[in-house]
Amino acid sequence: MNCVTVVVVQHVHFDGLGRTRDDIIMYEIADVFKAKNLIDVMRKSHEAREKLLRLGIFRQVEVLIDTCQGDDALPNGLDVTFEVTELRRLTGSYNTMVGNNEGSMVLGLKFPNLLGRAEKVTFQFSYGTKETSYGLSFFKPQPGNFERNFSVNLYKVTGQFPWSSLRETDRGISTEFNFPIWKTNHTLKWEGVWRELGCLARTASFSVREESGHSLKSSISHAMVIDSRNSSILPKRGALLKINQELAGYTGGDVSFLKEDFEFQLNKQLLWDSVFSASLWGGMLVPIGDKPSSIADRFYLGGPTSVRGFSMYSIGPQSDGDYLGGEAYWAGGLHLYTPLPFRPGRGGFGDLFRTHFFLNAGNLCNLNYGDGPKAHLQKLAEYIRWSYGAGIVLRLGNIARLELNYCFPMGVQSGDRICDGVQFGAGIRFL
Amino acid sequence: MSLSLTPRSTRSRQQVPALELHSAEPWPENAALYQQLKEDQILLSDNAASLAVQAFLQMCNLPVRVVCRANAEYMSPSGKVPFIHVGNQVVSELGPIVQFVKAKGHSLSDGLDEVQKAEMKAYMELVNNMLLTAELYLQWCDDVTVEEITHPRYGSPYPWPLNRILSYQKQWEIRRKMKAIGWAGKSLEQVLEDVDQCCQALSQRLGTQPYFFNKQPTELDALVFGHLFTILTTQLITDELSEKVKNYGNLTAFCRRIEQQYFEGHDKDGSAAASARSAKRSLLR
Repeated sequence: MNCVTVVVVQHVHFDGLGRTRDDIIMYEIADVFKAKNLIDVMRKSHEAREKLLRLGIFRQVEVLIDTCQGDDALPNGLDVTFEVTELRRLTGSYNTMVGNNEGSMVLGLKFPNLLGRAEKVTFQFSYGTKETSYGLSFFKPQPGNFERNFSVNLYKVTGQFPWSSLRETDRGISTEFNFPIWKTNHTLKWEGVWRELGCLARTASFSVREESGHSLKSSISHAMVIDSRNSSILPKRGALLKINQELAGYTGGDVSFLKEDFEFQLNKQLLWDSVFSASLWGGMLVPIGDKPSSIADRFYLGGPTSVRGFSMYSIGPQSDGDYLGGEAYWAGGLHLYTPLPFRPGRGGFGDLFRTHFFLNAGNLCNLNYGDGPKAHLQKLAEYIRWSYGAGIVLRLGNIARLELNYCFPMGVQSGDRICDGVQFGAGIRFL
Repeated sequence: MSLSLTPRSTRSRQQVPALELHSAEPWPENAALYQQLKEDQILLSDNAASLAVQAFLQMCNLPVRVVCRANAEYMSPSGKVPFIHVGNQVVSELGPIVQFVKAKGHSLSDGLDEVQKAEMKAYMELVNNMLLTAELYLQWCDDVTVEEITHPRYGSPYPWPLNRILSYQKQWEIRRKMKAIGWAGKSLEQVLEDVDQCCQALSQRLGTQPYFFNKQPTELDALVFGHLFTILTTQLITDELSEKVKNYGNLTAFCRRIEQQYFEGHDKDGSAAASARSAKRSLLR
C-alpha cells in the first residue's frame, strides 16, 4: 500500500467518550469516511481532530490509523481510532488582577460539555477594592455546525470613566445567536440592561450630574463581520469589515435610539517585510423621540487606542473638563509597520516587536438631525483632529498589543486634552 | 532674625477656606431648586423637605426657580432632595443650605442669642426625628399606603420592571433604617401618638406668637411650615395624620399665615400653594 492506493475507511473508533453524545461526534468525523487514499485519510483525520478540539470538550485528541483486522476486513481497509480525553465536569480558575489604582480577585468556574453536546456554562466573579462584577453565561452550539450557536448571558458590570467623571453600573441579560452566511459571520442579539449612572467625584460637572440615575435599555442588534486577515493583532494581509447596528426602545425600556457603527481595516504587505495598513471607523447615534441621548450610549474619541496624541476619550463636546461624548464620529489611520531597525533578535524575541509610523485623524460631534446629509458631512469635516508619529509595537500572543509612541497632535480644538510626546497604549482594538 | 507672616493675598489658593471663596459671589438670577416630579412622583416626606427649603429661601428674599426632574434624588450629591444649584455649587438638604446661604451673607437667625439658637436647633432636631421619621414610616412601613400610594408614585417615571425594582430597593433601605432607630416595631397608632406629642410641643412653643421666635421667621419656621403644610394638604389613605395637626389651631393658623405672606401672590410655578395643592389633587382616588 502506498500513498495513492485507493483505500476504504471501514471503521472509525472512539476511545474515551464519557458524557459526550454520539451525534455531535458523528458530524465532525463524517468527512473521514470519504477519504480515498492514504494521504487523504491522514489529512481528513487531522481536520477532524481540529474540529473536535474546537468544540471545547476534549483536553486532547490523538489519531491512530491502522489496517483493518477482523473477519470483514477488506485488503485495503483502514481503521481510524480517535483517542480522546474529555475535560472534567467542572474546572475552576482563580486569578488576581491589578489595574489602575485597584486590585481584584477573579474567580472563574466552567462546566464544559454540560449535557453532552458541547454546551457550556461559565460563571465569573470578580471582587475588587473598588467594584464587584459577575457574569453567568450559557452557550450551546448547533450539533454539526459549531459556528451556529446561541448563548444567554447574565451580568453585572461596573465601570469608572474618569474622563467623564462618570461611574456606570450595568445589570443585564442578553441572548445572542451567531451564524455564518458564506464568508461572513452574523450575530443577532437582544439585550436588556438596567443602567445606573452616577458621578465619580463631587466635582463632576452639572451636565454629567444631570445624567445620574437609572434607565432601562432594551435593544436588538445585528452585527456582521468579514475577516480575511491572517491574524487579528498585527496582521500582514487581509481585510476586516465590521458593521453593527442597534435599535433600542421597541422592546421595552425607556431609552430609544438607532445606532450604527462600522470598522474597516486593510493590510498589505510591502517590500522587506513591512506592512501598510489603513483603517477607518465611524458611527452615528440617532435618538428616537424627544428624549436626548444618554451619555452611556454616545461615542468617544481619542487616546492611545484611538486617535493617538490625545488623552483617553478626551476629544469633542465637554463641560468643565468632563467629556460628554458625541452622537457621530469618524476616525481613520494610516500605518506603516516595519521590523525593528537592524533586526535584533531575529527569528525569536525580536519578531514580536515592530516599528510603527502612523497618521491618525478623526472628529466627534453632535449632529443636528433636522439638517440634511450635506450639513452633516460638513459638520464632520470641520475641526478635524489629527496626529502623526512613530513608535514601537509589541505583540502579546494573539490577543493584545502594547504600543509606545511619540506623537504630535494637530488640529487641537479648545477643550480637547492632548498627550503630546510619549504615549503608551495597551489593548486589543487599535485604530 | 525676624519672622514675616505671608499676607493673606499671597497664600496659595488651596489655603483659602472654600466658604470664603463662594461668599464673594452674589446670589445669581438663575438659582434653581431640584425636586422630583410634582404631579406624579414626589412623596410626602420629599415634598415637605422641598417646601421647607423653598419657604426658607423666600424668607431670605432669595429668588429660586423650582425644576422638577425624575432623577432628582440621584442627581443630589447626598442622595436626598431637594438640592439647589447656585452658580457652580450644588448643595442639598436644609441644614447645609442654611450654612451655604449664611456664608453668602444672608441669615434669619443672626438676631437670636446663644440660648435661643440652641433652642432652635433642638426644635429642628425634634421635627427631623419625629415628624420626618413618622412621615417615612407612614410612606414605607404601612402596608396599605405602600401598596396604594408609595409604590405607584415612586416608580411612575420608570418602565416595568425597573419601577418595581427601584421602589422595592428604596423600601428595603428605609425599613432597614427604621429597624436601626428602633421604629420598626412601632405600630401605626404609636407613630400617630408621637406625631401628636411633637405637634403639642410645637404648639406650646409657638403659643400666640406669629413665629417661633416672635417677630421674625427663622429656619425653624420654614422647616415646621414645610412639614405641617404638606401633611395638611396631602391626601393619604386616611386623614388620621392631618387630623393630628388640625387639633392645634395655632399651628394651622401659622401655616396659613406663612402661605399667605410668602407664597400667595407669586404666580410662578414654584409657589408652595400650587405645588402642595397639585399634590393633593393628584392623590385623590
